[in-house]
Amino acid sequence: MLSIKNLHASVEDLCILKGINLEVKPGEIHAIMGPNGSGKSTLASVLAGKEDYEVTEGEVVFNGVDLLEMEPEDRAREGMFLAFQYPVEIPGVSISNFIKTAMNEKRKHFGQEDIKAVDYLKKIKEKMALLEINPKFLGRSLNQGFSGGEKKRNEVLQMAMLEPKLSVLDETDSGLDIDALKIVANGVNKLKTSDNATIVITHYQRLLDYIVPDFVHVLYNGQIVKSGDKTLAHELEKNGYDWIKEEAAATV
Amino acid sequence: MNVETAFDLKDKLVEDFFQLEEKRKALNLNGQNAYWTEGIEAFKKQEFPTTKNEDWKYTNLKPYLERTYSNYQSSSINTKIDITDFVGNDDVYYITFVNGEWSEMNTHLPKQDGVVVSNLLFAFETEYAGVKNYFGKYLSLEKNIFSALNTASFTDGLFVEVAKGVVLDKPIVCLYLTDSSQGNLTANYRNLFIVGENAQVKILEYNYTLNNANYVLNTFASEVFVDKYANVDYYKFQLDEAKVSQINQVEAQQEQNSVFTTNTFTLSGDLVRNEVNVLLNGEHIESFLNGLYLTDGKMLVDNRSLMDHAKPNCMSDEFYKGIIGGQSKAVFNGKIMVRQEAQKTNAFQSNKNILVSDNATINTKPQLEIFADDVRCTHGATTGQINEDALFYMQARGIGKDVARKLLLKSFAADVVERVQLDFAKEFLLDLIARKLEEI
Ligand SMILES: Nc1ncnc2c1ncn2[C@@H]1O[C@H](COP(=O)(O)OP(=O)(O)O)[C@@H](O)[C@H]1O
Ligand SMILES: [Mg+2]
Repeated sequence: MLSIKNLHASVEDLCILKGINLEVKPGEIHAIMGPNGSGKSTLASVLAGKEDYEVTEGEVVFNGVDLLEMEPEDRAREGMFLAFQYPVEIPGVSISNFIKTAMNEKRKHFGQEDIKAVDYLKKIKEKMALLEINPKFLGRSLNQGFSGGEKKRNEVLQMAMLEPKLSVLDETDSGLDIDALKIVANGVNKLKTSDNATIVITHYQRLLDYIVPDFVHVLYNGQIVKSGDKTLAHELEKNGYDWIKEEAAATV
Repeated sequence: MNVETAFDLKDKLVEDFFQLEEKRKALNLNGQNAYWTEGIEAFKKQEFPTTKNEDWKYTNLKPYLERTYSNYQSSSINTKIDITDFVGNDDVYYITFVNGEWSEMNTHLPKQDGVVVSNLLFAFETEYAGVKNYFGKYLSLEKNIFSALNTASFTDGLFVEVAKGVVLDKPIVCLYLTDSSQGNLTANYRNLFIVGENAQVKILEYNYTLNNANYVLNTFASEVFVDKYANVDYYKFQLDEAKVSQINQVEAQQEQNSVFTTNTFTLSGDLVRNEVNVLLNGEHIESFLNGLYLTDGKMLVDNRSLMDHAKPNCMSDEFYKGIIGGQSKAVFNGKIMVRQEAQKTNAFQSNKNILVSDNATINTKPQLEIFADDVRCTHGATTGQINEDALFYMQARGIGKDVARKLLLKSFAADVVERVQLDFAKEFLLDLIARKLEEI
């Protein structure tokens, strides 16, 4: 589904991603862990198509097409989804209107009619129930005045509505208390099928107790320095990232 | 120094005055001619302002005064109109003017006790006490040359008088139509609204251009008296085409416990200058000034206001937003005056702008003059661009950049639109905004 080869990316001439390689197949859950500043969000942003980041080398193929050639909106319509670490507040645009617009833009892309108002309402109410979000949220301005946890749940709500092929969850656990974490993880697990894939970016192992990864990768200093199964996450939890840093330093 | 060519226009307008005076002889004015005569005398004594004048610092009139304009061109357009086409609703009273002339055919007025709505000349001819008591009371001829010009040359306008305790059952719509097919044109409209104690009325004005062949410079002057406990909701939809300019003045006086709201929506035209001055002349008054301007091309939109707090315990709230594109220019100057007696004043002012093009400009300036010590005044002006992070966030959800941009701009304008109290006007405005955003 996703094939990243030797990806280099920089921002303002500062090289942040220094040769990332990653293969994600349908049905898989990958976790990307790593210390702060290692480039996890940068990788997510490059996949979503943020202009600030310049890809200097390498390629990304998403379902057979060159992802890097696509506009951000086309990536989304083709099934790429990024749950932002820091969702943007957009005053004056209601959640309901926003998600409906996004869904219809996708449908238009595939030559489909706009979703019927009743169908839309039914679906969003269902997903809100799944994520235990108060229906009152529908009329509220996007992310405006939301708590950290509310913003993250709202991201997962959008994911549930848009039904992406590949979801990248960037620190969706930060700002969530344990109950909210369980709800969000449960939501993500319910959306999981054998056809879609998930990349979970996280700093801590805790979320991975609930969203169990098939693979765990450690991103450090712009490179994936170690990959393994879920036991790697436990190891990181126990021993921290210092040994990774030391290992990485030793191989230079 | 004044622009040489401006003298030419001035001479031309003085000449026109005598022609207009000839026409007025057909009316039954019973010696009320003096109003116009005083106007022309005051006009002769003043000069058109240059940018050296502080009130016109950012609005250079020179290009607009270099042309000549003729008064009183009849329009060949005298068919019956469908009011719904112009305002999106037919459940209204309405009155129509074309090139400064009343169109009787396109007028449908209330027949409610205690309500007089007519063209202003009719009110003059019938010598309504309202004219005698209020005309020229709030608009000073010495204030600026345009108030003098308007008084010297007005050919008609809207007269509204609502008696004590009367609530109008429908809003009053006033259409000002411009047809410049015969040549450069000027029309001067004069309005007088007298709203009695505890009375309520909604007045909506719309500027439309039927034919944009030549240049037009219209002036509008409205005097508004809002008696105690009265509620007046006043709207201006400025929708002229690219060659039509207007200089607009509103002079209002409110008495205790009254509510007056002025909403000014500018979506097209050439030069649009709006000046709204409100005197809060009693206690417990609420006064709202809402404005939205969406500009593109070479438009110049200049909004000025004065909220003059003369008495204690009043509230004024000024809320203007602008989306400025193309090579257009917007100017905002909001002055809040709190006189010494006006303790416990609450005065708010906000002006927010988004520049959507590199060649668009905004000059925004709040002015506070506070002579009382126990007051709460807040003011703020912001100018920004479209939020790129928000744009990307929307794109990352599959929303095309263009759609996302429009959604963001529409949402920027939303809280001004929310202030519109009439549903049909709100919908109409949303529609105008959506169409305008296609162009900006
Ligand atoms: N837009 C940007 N401008 C400048 N530096 C950036 C930008 N985005 C990220 N960086 C830098 O790149 C590095 C990686 O950041 P990030 O991808 O956010 O790390 P992580 O998500 O792993 O914590 C950091 O040193 C950060 O300061
Ligand atoms: Mg990050």
